Amino acid sequence: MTIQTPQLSNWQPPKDFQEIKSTLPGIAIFAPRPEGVKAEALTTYKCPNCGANTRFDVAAGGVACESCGYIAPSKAQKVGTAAGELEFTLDTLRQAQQGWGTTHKELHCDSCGANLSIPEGALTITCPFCASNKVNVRVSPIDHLRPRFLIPFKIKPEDLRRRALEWLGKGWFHPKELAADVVIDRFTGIYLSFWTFTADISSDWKAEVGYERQETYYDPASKTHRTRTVIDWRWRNGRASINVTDLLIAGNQHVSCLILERLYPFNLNDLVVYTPDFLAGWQALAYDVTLPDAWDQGKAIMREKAKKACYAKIDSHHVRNFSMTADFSDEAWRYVLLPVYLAAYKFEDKVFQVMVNGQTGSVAGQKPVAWWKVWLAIATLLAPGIILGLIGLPFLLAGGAGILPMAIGLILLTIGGIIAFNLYQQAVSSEAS
Amino acid sequence: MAAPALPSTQVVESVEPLWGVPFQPAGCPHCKQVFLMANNFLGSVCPDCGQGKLAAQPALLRPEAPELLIPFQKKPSDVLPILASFVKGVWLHPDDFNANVMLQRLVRVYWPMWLVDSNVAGDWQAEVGFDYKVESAQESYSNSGWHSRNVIENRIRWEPRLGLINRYYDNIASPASSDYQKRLNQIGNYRLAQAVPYQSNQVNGAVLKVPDLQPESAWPSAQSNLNRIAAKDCQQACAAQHIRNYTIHASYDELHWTQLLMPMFFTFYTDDAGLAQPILINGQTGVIGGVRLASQKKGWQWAGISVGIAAVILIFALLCFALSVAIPSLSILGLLMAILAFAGFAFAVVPAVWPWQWNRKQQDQRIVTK
Repeated sequence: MTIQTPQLSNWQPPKDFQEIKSTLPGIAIFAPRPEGVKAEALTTYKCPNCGANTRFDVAAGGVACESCGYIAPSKAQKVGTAAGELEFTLDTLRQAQQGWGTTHKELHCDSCGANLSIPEGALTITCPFCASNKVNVRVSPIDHLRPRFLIPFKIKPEDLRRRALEWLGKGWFHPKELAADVVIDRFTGIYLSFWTFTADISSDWKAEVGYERQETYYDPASKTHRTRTVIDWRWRNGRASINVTDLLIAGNQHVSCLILERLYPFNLNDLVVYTPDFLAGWQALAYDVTLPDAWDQGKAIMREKAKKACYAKIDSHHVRNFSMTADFSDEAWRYVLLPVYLAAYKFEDKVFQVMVNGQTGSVAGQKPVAWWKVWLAIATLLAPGIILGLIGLPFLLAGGAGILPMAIGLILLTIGGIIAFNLYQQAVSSEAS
Repeated sequence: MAAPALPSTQVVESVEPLWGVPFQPAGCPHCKQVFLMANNFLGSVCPDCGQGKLAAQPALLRPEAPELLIPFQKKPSDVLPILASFVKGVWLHPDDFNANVMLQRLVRVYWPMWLVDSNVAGDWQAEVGFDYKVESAQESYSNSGWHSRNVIENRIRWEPRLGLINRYYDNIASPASSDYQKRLNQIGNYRLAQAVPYQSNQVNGAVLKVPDLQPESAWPSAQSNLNRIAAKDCQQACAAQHIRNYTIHASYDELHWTQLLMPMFFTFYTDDAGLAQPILINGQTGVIGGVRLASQKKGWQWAGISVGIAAVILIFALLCFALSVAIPSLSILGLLMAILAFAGFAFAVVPAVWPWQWNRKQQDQRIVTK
């Protein structure tokens, strides 16, 4: 077989195709041009009119210049939950294990010439010397693991203070003067990394299920026939299938997951294709929870959902020796950036965190607790039961009718105890970070 | 693309030292196939259909000698056990369906295939598939808690590719007989890699079948084969493991047609109706093909004998019943003989029906002759 070079003169490949390496002579190959190469290039934002620094403006919905009022509307390509998902290929998992690796930590500012130190995990930076905003200061070691989609900020920074104060004013077991005394003057808009996971789970379960049955028996002591409830245990098995879509797992371990989860849900229908414009002048954190670690967390949540679905199929609340196998299929993931405002405030010399969902405006965070209010409420809840018990006790000892107040007291004490315990937990979690 | 210029053929009328051997062109008046052979084969049974007798006639063929030939790897002595096992499975077979008889009628036949050389130049596009592995989870729960297991699945990632091709292909095999596929179904594929350059001494004493598909008719198949090999090359060039939806717009230049000769043994047996039933044996692998007919005539004979014996026994049984008036114990013997007689009648159905049923099953393998 002889080989000749293909003639390229009369034939042109489509514009979005580029020539790639061929392993055989005499055959030229063209493949679709890879996407996103441009999306990862370092970009410095300057106004084309006046040369001043520009940043993404939430109200304007594009990159705006504060000096001359120039606005470049963002070309947001909304994809929503149709945003492309990726599979758990062995290659990706192996590469993802390394995280972002040791990428460069210094950057030469092309605007003023200064050498900048890039903070750990930052995807954007503002030059402290010339205030120019730079995006994509860190390059993902593999293309799959760069940010591909994000939800842009929708809540304007000027609305944040009002929302935060409203939130601080809510709740009766916080100090009364909290909303009035606290000053939150600086919110930082930041894109946090999240992983989304989707999977179909088909579970086969097996368990001993107990069915209640009324049984009549003869009581020789009372010499009467009585009824009692007995449980018949039978082995049962079945199958339950669930689909978990877009389960969110936080990708930044240094941000409080407890507070972050209270900001949920994010509406993923607003996902747009990543372009650096959205990050101009805003902070963005690359993930530090690797894909395999996040997937382990995701799987743990999903399998519990599958277990719940299996239990839902069981037509009795008496279950023992339960076992199941959950087969995952069509597992897919995405790496997305979601908008969050972070702030901190001081109250009585203590620092508390507060976060605002940059898309929906919901607020969550730490709030100081007026513990005297909590203890007073707990005492009020427990008191009726204790008092009734104390009243009933002498009557009982005297052989009188003390049994009734004692029984009512016990019931009230139990109910009060449950409510008091929940109240205590709420108070503790309110301060927790 | 327009069909490329195809080579011309020539007419061979009588004995000529063609391709290094003095070949006599002859044809079968029944199946119209044309052969080249030694003079002494004239008047013998057609080694294709087995129905007609070979008679001298002109042949239309290309003058170039065959380029390649697959030598016979089975000797006639190797064929006897093949024929014996072929015959063995048929009960009530015709007398002529006999391994030794068929061995005596064995003829060595070479049948042709085109070998096409061509330069393929043009543009192509396809979807190429790359194998990859994904990890899937399997979580089990029991009293001891959760246990995780990862399952590895193989998947194919399909990607579009297009490009140009300009490659020269040598010896791409294409059918030269209209019954090419039917023959292969009967006697299996040949290992083309074992082909050797043509030598006239190897075809001495054999019958050569002349292509009945001339290049004009064989071109669509040859083009399809060229495209299939080009597709494989494009897949390899992409370093892909799979290819689908392949299309090519190409010109086929520098076409060159030669023949590849494939070895086959031909023999036959005659059935009840006196018709010859051809049997073919792959000369390279020994795979045998043909219709194995049972003899309906023999079936009727066996059925008749069975009915006759049963009738005689029945008469004796009746006789026993008659005599049992005098000797009562004869009635038992009569009963037994009556049962035997009925069994004989019943058995007679088997040889009568079996050949018909067997022959029906053989219909699918029947060689269709013109």
